[in-house]
Amino acid sequence: MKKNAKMKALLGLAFLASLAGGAHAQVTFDEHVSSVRELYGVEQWSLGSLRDGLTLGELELPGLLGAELRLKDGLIERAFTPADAPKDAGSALIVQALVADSAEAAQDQLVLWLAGLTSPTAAPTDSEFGVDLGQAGYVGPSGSGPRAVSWVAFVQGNVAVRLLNADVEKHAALPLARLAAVVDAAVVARDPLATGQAVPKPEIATFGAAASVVAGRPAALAVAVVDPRGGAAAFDWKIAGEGQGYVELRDGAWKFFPTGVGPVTITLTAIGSTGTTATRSVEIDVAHD
Amino acid sequence: MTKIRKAAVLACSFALGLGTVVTAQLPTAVRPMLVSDGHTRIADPKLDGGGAEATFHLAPAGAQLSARADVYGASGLVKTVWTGALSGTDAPTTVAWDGTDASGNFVDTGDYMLRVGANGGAGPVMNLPVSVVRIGVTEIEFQDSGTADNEWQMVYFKKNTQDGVFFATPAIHEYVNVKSGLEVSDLDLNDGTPRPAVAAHTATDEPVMDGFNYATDRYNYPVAYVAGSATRLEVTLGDGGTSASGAAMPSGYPVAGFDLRLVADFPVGTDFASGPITPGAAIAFDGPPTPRAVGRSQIDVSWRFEYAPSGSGAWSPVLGSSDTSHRLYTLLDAPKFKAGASGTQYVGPWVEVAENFASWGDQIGVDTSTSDGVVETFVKGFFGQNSGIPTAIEGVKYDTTVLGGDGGANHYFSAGSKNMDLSALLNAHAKGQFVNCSDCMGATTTGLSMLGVANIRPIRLGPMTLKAIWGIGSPAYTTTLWGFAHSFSYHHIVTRTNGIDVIDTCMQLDEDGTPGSIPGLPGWNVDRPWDGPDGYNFLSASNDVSKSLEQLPGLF
Repeated sequence: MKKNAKMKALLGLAFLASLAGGAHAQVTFDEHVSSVRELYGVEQWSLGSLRDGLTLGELELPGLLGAELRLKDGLIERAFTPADAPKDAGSALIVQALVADSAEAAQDQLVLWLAGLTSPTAAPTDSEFGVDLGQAGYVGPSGSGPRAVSWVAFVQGNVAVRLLNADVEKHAALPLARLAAVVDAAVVARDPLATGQAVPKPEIATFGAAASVVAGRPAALAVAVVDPRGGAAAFDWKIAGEGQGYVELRDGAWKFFPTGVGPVTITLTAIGSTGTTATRSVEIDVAHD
Repeated sequence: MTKIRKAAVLACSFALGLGTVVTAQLPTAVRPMLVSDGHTRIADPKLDGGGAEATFHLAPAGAQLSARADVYGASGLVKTVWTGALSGTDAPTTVAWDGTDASGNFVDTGDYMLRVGANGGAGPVMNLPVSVVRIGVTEIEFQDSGTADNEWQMVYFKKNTQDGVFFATPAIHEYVNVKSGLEVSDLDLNDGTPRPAVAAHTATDEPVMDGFNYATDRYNYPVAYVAGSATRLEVTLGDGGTSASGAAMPSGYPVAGFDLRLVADFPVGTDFASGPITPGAAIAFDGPPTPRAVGRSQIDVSWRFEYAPSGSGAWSPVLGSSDTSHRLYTLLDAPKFKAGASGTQYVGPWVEVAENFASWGDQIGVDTSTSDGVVETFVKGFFGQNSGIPTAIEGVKYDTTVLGGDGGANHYFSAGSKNMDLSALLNAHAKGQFVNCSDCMGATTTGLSMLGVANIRPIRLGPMTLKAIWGIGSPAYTTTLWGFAHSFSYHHIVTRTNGIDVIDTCMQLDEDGTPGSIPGLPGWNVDRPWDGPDGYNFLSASNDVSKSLEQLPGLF
């Protein structure tokens, strides 16, 4: 069941009261998160059904054009620009999501977003903005206009979602709450998983490269990814280690361009069309040219 | 007559080192004689100012001659480079050949003869051999100096407007100027003209692009060194060139009987001269020291070549040079990374941070050769406004409803992973103009650490009942941050002394003696003590604020 707004307001006042009393309250991040969980009554949030994810890369939002799906710090992310905006216009909306293995993990992500708020009061609920999002939803009203919204965050089963207005002064009329409802509906449109069924993830069937390459000479990477619903997976590459280089798609094939000598770890994260991910790494030694 | 003949023999002996022939064919009483005063033995006409010169005079004093200078190659006359009258009383005459033929095309590498003689037939003739070579620098790698770890690869963060796509400048060469696609040689274009030097890449967000992909054949990326340290360069010489017909041609050296060497001229510091060189060789040497201040500067190099008869050490210049200019960012010390991070460079907008800092340094004018100066410049530049820089970094504003924002949400800092999306912030605040304290903390800790400031760490503060503050991007001091309240549920700031002193780029405190009310007197939080009447704890909040140290964030 959803926590009602009145209860949240009371908890917020209690939080403020603890401040006014000069209490030496929570210090560490974990303690702060605990207080946030209490402030928002997380224990009262119901656990929604598990689904295979959110097809964010294919999502269509009214009046907006979506860019390619990306992975940023463990979250899938997609930027949207107004359909009638000039080509070089910046994004108006950014949608971030976590397709977790459990509803609890998705709720934890929503708590983390809420824990970032420096205001001492609880954020208003989704219902105050005329929408009913998932099992818990909150809104960041903006001072840029009477109905301007800076962000909306919610959890639907094992999917946590946050919509950010990328320029709330310029796009004060962006109907963030209604757009969030479209995203929520896209999650709900996926069939719930059977009891005990794991959230499906892409499979990196092949990922290989030569054990040793020469700096300055591109090396082919063998890559094959199976998407859990037969869609198109996206790719995220990370290069770590003493050596250096980058990965690019050239003439339809992935290639590693070594630019610094030493061992490197190339990590491929495949982002499935439903937002889940799989990761594999290969070790390559980059020799001097 | 004996004396004259002897003089002629002496003249031959002097000039033969540079290769010359002097003949005297007219009756002795009036026989004019061409005397060489030196000429270019080895030339690369494609260098800036390159070509060949010959200087000569006519003897004896009473002699007069209508003369010409022609260049001959294997297939005959290449070009007439000079005609004129010579008199034995004139000062020596210098003629120049720019290395082109009668059509204005550069000649191929090989052996040529510059012939000076009487115009129209009989008379003295002087043949001066010229070897045309193709020589130049195609790659430059900046390296650690000696055993020091003082040079790093910088990182860009955008690709075709998308942030969070990282590209480190290649460690194997920051400067590359080589052929691409169907081109024939590294040193020349396909019409035989020299490939121009690559200008320093001045964009700070995106690397050099070739369509959608990173360029691999021509770029000139910035280098990063510790301020006040030595530099080391490794340069690679081109091997061969392209003829005017578009065909590949050899370098034309080594030239029998002569050594060639590379000379690097620096505006400051000691110049370098190599040993004998060969086409395609790689040559490493120490370069000039870097400036002592943290910021941006430039390394200019004039690449020249010299030749000498083998083993003689009597070096003469190959006329001309090719110049390169390299953007240099100096750091306070080695960049600092998040604990456990793997790799030799930040996966973050390193060039952008260094350039921002350099720009702030230019405007603020604080000495940035010390860590104190670096921190002061960073805080004042990041916050802007009261520092004289009109706006905060990227024009951000504190995330409060009063200013148009919301309840102080993280837009760029991830509370869960403790990582900072500095790329999005520096990409024209791609995730929104409004920032909260964690966003500012994340940018400040990672930015200062990239610049080499030691022990930079976040401090998480507990709830605060605020006094007057000036939030970043705000128009003035306020005591009603949220309209209805003036407090924080938490606050994120920075320290480099484990909390004894603190740094806050998110807001200024009020130093007018009444910190709880407005108006306020701006007080910078540049290593401000935590305790005491001017301390952060007292000036920022009316409650006793708790604090806990956290670890340096990472980037994504």
